[in-house]
Amino acid sequence: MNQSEHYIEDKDKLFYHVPKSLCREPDEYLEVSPHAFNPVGESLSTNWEKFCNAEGCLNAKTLTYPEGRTSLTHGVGHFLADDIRNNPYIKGQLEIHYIGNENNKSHVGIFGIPLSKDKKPYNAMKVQLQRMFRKWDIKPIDK
Amino acid sequence: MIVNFQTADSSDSHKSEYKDVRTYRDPVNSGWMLATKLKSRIPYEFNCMRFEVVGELESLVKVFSKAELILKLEENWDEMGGEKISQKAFESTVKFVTEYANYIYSNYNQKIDIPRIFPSAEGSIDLQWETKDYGILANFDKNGNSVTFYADNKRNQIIEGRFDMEDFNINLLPTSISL
Repeated sequence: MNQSEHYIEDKDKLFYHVPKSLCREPDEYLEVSPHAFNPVGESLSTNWEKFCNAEGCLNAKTLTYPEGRTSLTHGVGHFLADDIRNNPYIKGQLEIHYIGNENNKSHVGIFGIPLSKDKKPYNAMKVQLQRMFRKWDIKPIDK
Repeated sequence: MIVNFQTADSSDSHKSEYKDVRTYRDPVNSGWMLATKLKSRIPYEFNCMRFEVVGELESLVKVFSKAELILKLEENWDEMGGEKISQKAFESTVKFVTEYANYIYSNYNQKIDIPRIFPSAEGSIDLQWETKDYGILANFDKNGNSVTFYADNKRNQIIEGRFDMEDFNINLLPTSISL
């Protein structure tokens, strides 16, 4: 077993926040849109449970949310590293890499998601990501 | 005199579009006339366009009505620079579901499972069926013409493809029916 501090075990959770606008039926928030797993940049950004919990994922301060997100605007669920690595439909296509720094020690990227403009491979991938996403650690709410 | 007409084969496949089929004696022409009564159609209107689903598929109209909300999403609705959802994409999605559902019901006497309609990238729409036995996702591009799809049975069968709304063979598409 790899003893590196930054080795992500199969059992580890990777927290991921989803805007309410990407959850179907605002009064239920039962379904997450397949488009919710479209990466910004090279990878899908998640927060590793080794350095972060669901609340930390939600409340992290950003330029867009200088006070942090809340459950009024987002929900938080997670992926399991094992699911990402060993999904039989997309086996080998996705990789998980630790990309944390002093500003975001828990940052982990999921690499290998096709661009949204590449319709067919993106369709297949977003269905699998939607199925692997486990909701909710923090459910989005209305006022 | 009106006589109820019983088909020799009582299977449902013959009922098709017709609620009941009756013959009656026409007093003027002294012959037997075939009277048919079309099943009810439920209308859905959007943007001066009218779509109709067979009465038994009324729940689809509710799906369409609820889905109209996605057209109100503003730019950057997904926090990833997302475009506003195209009306053409929405019209094509509704047109497709209507024709698809009516076709399957008329030809196989089966109701399709209830789909979900989601906003997606670049002004497009995702049409999705996801059950314990299968999944289908079809993406309607913002021009409302090109559709790409993915389907699997959650085991070992995968189908992917594309078609144009202007010209496609519905029989080549996966069927969103729970077995």
